Amino acid sequence: MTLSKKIFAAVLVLINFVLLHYIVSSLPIRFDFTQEGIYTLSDSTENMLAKLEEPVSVEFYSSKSIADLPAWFKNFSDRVEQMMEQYEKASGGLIKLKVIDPKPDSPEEERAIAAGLNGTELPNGDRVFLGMVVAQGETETIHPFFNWDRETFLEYDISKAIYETQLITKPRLGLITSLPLKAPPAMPMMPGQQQQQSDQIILSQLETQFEIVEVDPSESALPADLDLLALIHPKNLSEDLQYSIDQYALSGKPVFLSLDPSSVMEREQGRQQMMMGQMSQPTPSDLPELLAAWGIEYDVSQVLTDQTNSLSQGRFTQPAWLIFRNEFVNRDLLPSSELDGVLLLEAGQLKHAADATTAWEPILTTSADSGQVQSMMLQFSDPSQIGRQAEPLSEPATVAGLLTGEAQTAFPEREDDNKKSSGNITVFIIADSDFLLDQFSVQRVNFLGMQQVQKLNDNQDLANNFIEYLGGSRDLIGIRGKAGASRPFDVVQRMEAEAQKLYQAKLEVVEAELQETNQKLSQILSEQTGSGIIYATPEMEELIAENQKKQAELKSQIREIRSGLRQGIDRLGNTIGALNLLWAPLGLLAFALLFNRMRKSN
Amino acid sequence: MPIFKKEFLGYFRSPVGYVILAVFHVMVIGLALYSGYYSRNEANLNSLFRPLPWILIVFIPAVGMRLWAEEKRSGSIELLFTLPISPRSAVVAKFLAALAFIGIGLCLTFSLALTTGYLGDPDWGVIFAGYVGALLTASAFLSITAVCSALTKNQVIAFVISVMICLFATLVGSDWLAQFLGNSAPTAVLDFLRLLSFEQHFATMSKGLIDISALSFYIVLTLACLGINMIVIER
Repeated sequence: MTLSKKIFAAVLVLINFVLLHYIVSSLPIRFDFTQEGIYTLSDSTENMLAKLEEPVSVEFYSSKSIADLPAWFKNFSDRVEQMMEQYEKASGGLIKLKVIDPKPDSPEEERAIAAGLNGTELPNGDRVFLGMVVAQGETETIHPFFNWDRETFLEYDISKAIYETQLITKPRLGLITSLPLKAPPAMPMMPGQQQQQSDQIILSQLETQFEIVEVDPSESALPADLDLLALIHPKNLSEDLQYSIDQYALSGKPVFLSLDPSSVMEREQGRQQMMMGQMSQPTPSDLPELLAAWGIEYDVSQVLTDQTNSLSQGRFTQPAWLIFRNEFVNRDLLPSSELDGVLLLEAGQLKHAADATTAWEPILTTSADSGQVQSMMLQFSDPSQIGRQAEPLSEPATVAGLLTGEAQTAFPEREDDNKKSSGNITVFIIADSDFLLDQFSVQRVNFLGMQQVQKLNDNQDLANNFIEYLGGSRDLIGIRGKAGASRPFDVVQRMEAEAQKLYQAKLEVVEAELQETNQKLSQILSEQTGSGIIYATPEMEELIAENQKKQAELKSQIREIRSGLRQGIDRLGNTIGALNLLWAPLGLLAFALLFNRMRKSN
Repeated sequence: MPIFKKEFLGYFRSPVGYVILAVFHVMVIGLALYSGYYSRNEANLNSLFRPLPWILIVFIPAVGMRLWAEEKRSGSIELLFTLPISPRSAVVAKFLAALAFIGIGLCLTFSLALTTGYLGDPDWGVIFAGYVGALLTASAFLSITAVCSALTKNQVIAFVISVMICLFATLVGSDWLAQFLGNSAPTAVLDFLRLLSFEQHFATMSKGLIDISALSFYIVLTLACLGINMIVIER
């Protein structure tokens, strides 16, 4: 073969490669190897699509023609489009997908803006769109921008938009809360003033699915026709309103109840107010009459600690901030089946009364290493002291659960013609409210001037799952649940918990010694005050010197214990690193020697 | 089969093969550990897969540079053609032998996957897809190296040219190139280049998703390069 023929043949092969690849790439074939099947439509979505009766139009706006966009962003945009094509296919033609490229200064761009998809502006002035408008009849749902940080929730976001389009009227959710879930009203911007705040995410998410009916705690009755009632850190409820809640619950309608023995947010606010010279005391939330009637025991003066599940980051350990993972989350219930990493702050214990007629299904439980501490202590004590002050509990404690079954009225003495004395109730109860707030569950990041929300844990999912579960949309829960499970190193976590326990035990011994020497000194000092002596006796000087020496020794011991806390974990890391790095070179050397000997012997 | 056996065992007859494997292993694992495998406390192999294509750019040419260049330099290629073996069989056998050797290199890094399994509960499907991606990337790079090796008698030249082509191929469709060409190239061109991106296809696979575009890219490219390899050595 001559050189020119070879070059010609090689060029032909390359052209064939490019053409073939170009054609094959357009085929919608993909293999999803993820355990949760995050790139494949779930059964829940297919169930939801099977229930579609009317055609749904989906206009997907994707700025494909903007050159400046990074490749990963375009890949993400392709992925959204591919996912939507799966919806179109699975709906049997009821979903009509239209992909629109809103080029700069085009009628499509105007349509996108008019529909409410503002996109985001690039430094060169071009706008990037990656959103959709879902419409059925006259109902329209807008998803303004697909957030790539929520890639694993892509299916949920699309399904949710389609589901919401099906809702001709939104269910009514009654909301009673003492927390500032709604942002304060906008004020004219002053120089140096902070940016306008947004509503808490939990409220914004609920507003997409429910018609929120806010109920003031001083009201005498709940509004009529509520489909779901959410009580979030409810305080100072009038007795009439409590009676109305009692009757509402006995009528079989669902209740989402979030109580809190110690609100971190209120304490922080209180501190700020005290700094400004105002007095403020955080108060726990409680509904004693209702809880008693429902068969739940809840002590507002106590907060749980848990050595195994407490939040620990580096040297920072907060024994009353608890993370619920793995076996500490109920996997049997659909809304909590896939939750992993729920953070509760200074939560209380919920006990099912022995004589209760209701059924109680615990959802979040602490480990056997848990204890209880007075909630008042949390205002003054250092986190390191809280663990020591905690009274150990003999068994795991429940902090959230689902209460169902027959209950009696909490107000038997009330006289009312329409009164229900008993009924089947459905109440989700959780003994913390801080977990719902943005500052403990999400972080807002800025991308090209657009605010994106990234989740820090599964707190928002816990609340949304149960509210959706109680409110009736089972399909959406199945979709949300399959994504976002964190996979930490369990071995390291167990070691951390063990090390923490060991550290705590050693620390307690050392601190007890320290306290003993301090007490001895205080005793002598008080004796001296009583005797009127105002100078240090040689005996006292000796004791003070001894005390100082001992204190220095003990503090050094504490330091050693502290530094030893992570030693085991670091040692494991080093061992793993060394083993992984060295096994192959050493193994290859051994193999080389063996192979060489075999060759020689042959 | 005899050529495959001869070529495959050839890697283990000199210390160079062992050194290449050991260096590859230390580089891959070292980078994964250095980039926070343990401290991130996440049971996945992201820290191994993220830099892997860039390491393969050097490792694969080092393995494949001698495929044909050495035969040409020593003149044994003439002897090879006297044997009753078609050029196609020779090309495929040599390629598969080198790929098997590279496969061993990739298998060595599996110790980190086992470690991850010990420490936590990884998604084995994602790890599997990542290794499939790594093997496909390696085979595409190897086929490019085989062509370069067939074009020259000098192994070093084959190595340098292969590294440059593999580097260029990896950069094509990368964010870096898209931003560099941003204002000067039409979007259609950038989108087309994205279809030919090693980096993007591998990134998708290491997340657990193998789509037909990635499969066709690696497989068709490998076959095309092996075809060119055959054309080059054809008399």
